Amino acid sequence: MQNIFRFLLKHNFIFTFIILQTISIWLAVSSNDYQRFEANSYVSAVEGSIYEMTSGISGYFKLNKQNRELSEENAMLRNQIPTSYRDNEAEISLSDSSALRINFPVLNFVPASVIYNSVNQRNNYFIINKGKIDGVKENMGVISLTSIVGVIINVTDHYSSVLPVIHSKAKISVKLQHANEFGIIKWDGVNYRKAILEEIPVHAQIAVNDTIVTSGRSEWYPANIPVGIVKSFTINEGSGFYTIEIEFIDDYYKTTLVYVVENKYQQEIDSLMHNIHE
Amino acid sequence: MNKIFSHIIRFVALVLLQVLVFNKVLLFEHFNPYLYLVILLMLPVHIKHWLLLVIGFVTGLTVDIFSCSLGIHASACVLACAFRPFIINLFHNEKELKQGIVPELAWFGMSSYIFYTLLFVFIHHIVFYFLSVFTFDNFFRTLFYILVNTLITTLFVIIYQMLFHSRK
Repeated sequence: MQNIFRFLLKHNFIFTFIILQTISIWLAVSSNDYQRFEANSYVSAVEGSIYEMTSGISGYFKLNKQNRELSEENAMLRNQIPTSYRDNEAEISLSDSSALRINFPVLNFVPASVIYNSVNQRNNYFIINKGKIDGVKENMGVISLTSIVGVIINVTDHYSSVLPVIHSKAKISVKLQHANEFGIIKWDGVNYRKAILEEIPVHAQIAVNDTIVTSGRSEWYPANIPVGIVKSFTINEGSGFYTIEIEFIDDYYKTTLVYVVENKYQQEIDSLMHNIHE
Repeated sequence: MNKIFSHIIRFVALVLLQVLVFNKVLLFEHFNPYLYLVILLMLPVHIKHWLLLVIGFVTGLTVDIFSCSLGIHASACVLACAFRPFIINLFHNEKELKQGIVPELAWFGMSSYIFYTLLFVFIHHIVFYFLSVFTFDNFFRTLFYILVNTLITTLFVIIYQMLFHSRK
């Protein structure tokens, strides 16, 4: 026993190194994983308050307040536009359409501001200043004033973390605005302004500067929100699909105001999906 | 005691500066100066090696927690700290140096200090970048990022030294 102890003491440098390096690599590898990010949730409340404080200092005080009011108002307006309502022509024609629509809002928007974001890592995260208390839940979509941002992956009482489209695990279901062909956007981890669009078949007509919009097929984002612009494309001979380089509409480094999108029929969709998978 | 206190103040100030300011600085759309490495660069030469590693780990982990990159800075710092005694030995014989001396620009001299910083930051950045990218695909692109970011961080460290530690 004493010998072991003496041995450890003599080589304390090596042992400290091995222990610390194992802990940190284990942390790094496990937190890389989408699911294990939840382990981070205990810090995100503390982080949240610190980042909120600093973003309050760095932002201009008056502008912050004005922005909040504006986004509050925008959210209210968005709740009233037709695309937020269940589109059911039959029902609408049967009765007074406007009354019906007000009774059946499908989407609800919660305004929030980004208090932390990173853009130059392979797995970037955003933290926003709305949480459980404000009705934010996991798996809700997050959109900005002009484009989409990501998906809520973790919620504390007052804050939530967002897995943005600039994350190696992010996949966005999109379509070409004009051609109505569906594809998937993946971020390749290089430049936070650019991404790769895949699975557009070669018979589709595309051109540089075409707009890519959300397909509406994913549960996270409403349809027809602009996502990016085609920058260049090549035909992938083997697969019969294009490989398209797009540029995001949003500069995610500068994103400050966002909306969390709540789909009121999410549970119904989820239960159907669940049944299919069973 | 006074000296320990100054190290603690430096730790708090630089971690805050890193997390609140430098993590948000984005040069040429990609590069981040990691100025908090000054904390580790300026630990006393004769510090116990295991303590050096522990401080490296704690510093890295603190920055990690506020950067949503758990473990990556910690791992990079621990490796860089493990190499630090050897790097210092390249320029000075550790045993000949006075007890309690702190590696700063004033007595290291400009050219050795630049090399000392470059090597330390380079080791840190190799681990940091490859762990955050987590692939050896595009090896040379990652290497390019490492080299450019090493130069940027070193530049900031030297500026910091010139501001606060160039003269006794």
